[in-house]
Amino acid sequence: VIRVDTISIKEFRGIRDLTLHLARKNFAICGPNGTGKSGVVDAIEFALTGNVSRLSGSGTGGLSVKDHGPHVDSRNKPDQSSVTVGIYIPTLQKKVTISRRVSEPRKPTISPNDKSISEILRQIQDHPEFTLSRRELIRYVLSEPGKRAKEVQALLRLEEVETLRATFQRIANAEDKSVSTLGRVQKGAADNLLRALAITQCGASKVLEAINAKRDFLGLPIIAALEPTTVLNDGVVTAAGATPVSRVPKNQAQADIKALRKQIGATTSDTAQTECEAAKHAAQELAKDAASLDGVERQELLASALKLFDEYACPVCDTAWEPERFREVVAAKHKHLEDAAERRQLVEAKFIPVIDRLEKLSASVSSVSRYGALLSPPVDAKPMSDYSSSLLTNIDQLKKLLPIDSTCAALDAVVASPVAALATLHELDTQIAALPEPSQQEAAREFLTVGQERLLAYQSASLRLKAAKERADVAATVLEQYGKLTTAALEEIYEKVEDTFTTLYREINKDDEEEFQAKLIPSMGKLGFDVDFYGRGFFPQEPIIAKAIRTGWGFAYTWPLWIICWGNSSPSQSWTMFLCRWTQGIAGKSARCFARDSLTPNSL
Amino acid sequence: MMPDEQNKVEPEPSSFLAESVTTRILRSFVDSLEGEPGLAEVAARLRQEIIEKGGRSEAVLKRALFGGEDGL
Repeated sequence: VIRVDTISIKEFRGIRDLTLHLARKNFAICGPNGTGKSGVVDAIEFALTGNVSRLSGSGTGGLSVKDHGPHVDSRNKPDQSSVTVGIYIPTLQKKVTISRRVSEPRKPTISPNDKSISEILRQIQDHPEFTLSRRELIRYVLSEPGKRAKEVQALLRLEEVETLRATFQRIANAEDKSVSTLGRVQKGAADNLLRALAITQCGASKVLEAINAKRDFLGLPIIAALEPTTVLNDGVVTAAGATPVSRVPKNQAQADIKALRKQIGATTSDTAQTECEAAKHAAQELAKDAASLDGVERQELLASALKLFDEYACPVCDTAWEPERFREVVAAKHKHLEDAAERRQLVEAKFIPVIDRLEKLSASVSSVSRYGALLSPPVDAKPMSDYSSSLLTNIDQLKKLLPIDSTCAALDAVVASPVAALATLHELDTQIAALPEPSQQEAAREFLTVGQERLLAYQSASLRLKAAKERADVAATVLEQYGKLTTAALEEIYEKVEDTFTTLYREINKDDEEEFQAKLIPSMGKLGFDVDFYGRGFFPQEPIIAKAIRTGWGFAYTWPLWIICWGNSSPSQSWTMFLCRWTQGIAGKSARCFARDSLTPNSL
Repeated sequence: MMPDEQNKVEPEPSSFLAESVTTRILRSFVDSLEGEPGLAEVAARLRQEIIEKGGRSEAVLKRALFGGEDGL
């Protein structure tokens, strides 16, 4: 608890020259309107933080510490406007003197100025609830529930709770997406394996049934169980008297070419063209909102800007900003970008089947093109390799989305018939067809060898998918737990606020509202109240609370929040500052009763 | 009041400024994660990254969730 020894105020707010010796005691400041009570609180805040809450933030118009901190008669002499506060920090057992001039609020003179003291002052600056102004509470009480939630979140520093939840959500979404992508890869690998083994379903028994038929034919030992270390073609090459496996497994190659032709046909079909046109249209619609195109990257930038904002100037261009105004501008941009991000997701959803098809096709083209070099004479498969590369480039572009023109071009390109690649495919097909038919033994060896290659590819894809699923599970569990825990914590806050608010409000207005009840409406980060209207039921407070008692309402509402911020070990001197600002807003009789009956000796 | 009295150290239940509500909530969250099967290591990394170091970025959270430098 910081204790104030002395405070010397010169030409600051409504005060010309005032020195108070507070002797580290709790204190209250009383006096008629306009005598400078609030100026003392402002001076303490200014000395400790370099800021005056009442002169910053939304609703303060063109007010600023620099222009409106000095006394009106010294308004053009901010260098003469200063506050010097002598404080004692019990935890450090140190006396500290802090002097600030309004002309240079960020350059205080601190004596002594060591690391521990700087840390304490930094912590104070991190707590916006350090002072609460009448304006802030009135704004809070009168604001609509959605905006009020923001006020409360700011007061309790709860924005970070939501920011973290959103980040956990983003990670979980990305992991789900990764599972989806790797699932497609695994499916492709499974299709290749099924085709190689000429079966229609994956599964150990089906694979073994197909494999063992060939092994039995070749006189190789039967494989009893499919283990991760099982080698399907074990013994094929080394079998005594075995002929080396043909360089191009004719049957498999022909099956692959047939499958590839089918895939190319599907990619350039009318159905695929319609699908790509729809995706293109969605992308073009998005492009009409030019400001939203680079939304995601800008979101990152804006989030960083908010983190780096030093309450005075934009971290990018150093332009001076009022803190609340800066946050409002950034928040508005961020909100706009959130909408854009949602729109982007809708567009990307239309790309998923296209990308899925292209990824499978690219893998198949790449696989078949390898046969070219194995043939004698070799077939130049470069057109097919180029086609595969162009497919990958287009897939990357579709995943990036921006620039939209490039994405539209990619969508046009992928449905175009790959003339050169088809010509090469035809050449490959012709040469492979001309290969001598393998003997049954050669075909069996090819079968086992290709089966083994594809089983390995399938196992690798499955392992990657499994790892991705584990990551997704962790992310989902953490997200769920985070949601549960934060909701419970917020509900606990609601209950405490509700109980304390009701008690305080009844106490403040006990001459006519002893039966007063209030109910919170809990939801993430919101503290909406319904109140009992003279036993007629619970209604939102706004329409039924008379303006005259709203200040008392705000006080009763905010005090429990204050308790939550500071705990039961609240710095009593700060309580005093708090009270001196707010008891004035409660009707005289109630204030006296409240002070007499409710405040413990330690709180004043 | 005598100077010695003035300099008396008050009992402080915690640091000068109470721990922020956010930190309290995060601490409860990490504590609860420790009880989840298989998530003890994740909880320990999250405690270090988001409570002790105050990390909030996506990269930091990924590293805490999945371990390793790049989260892979």
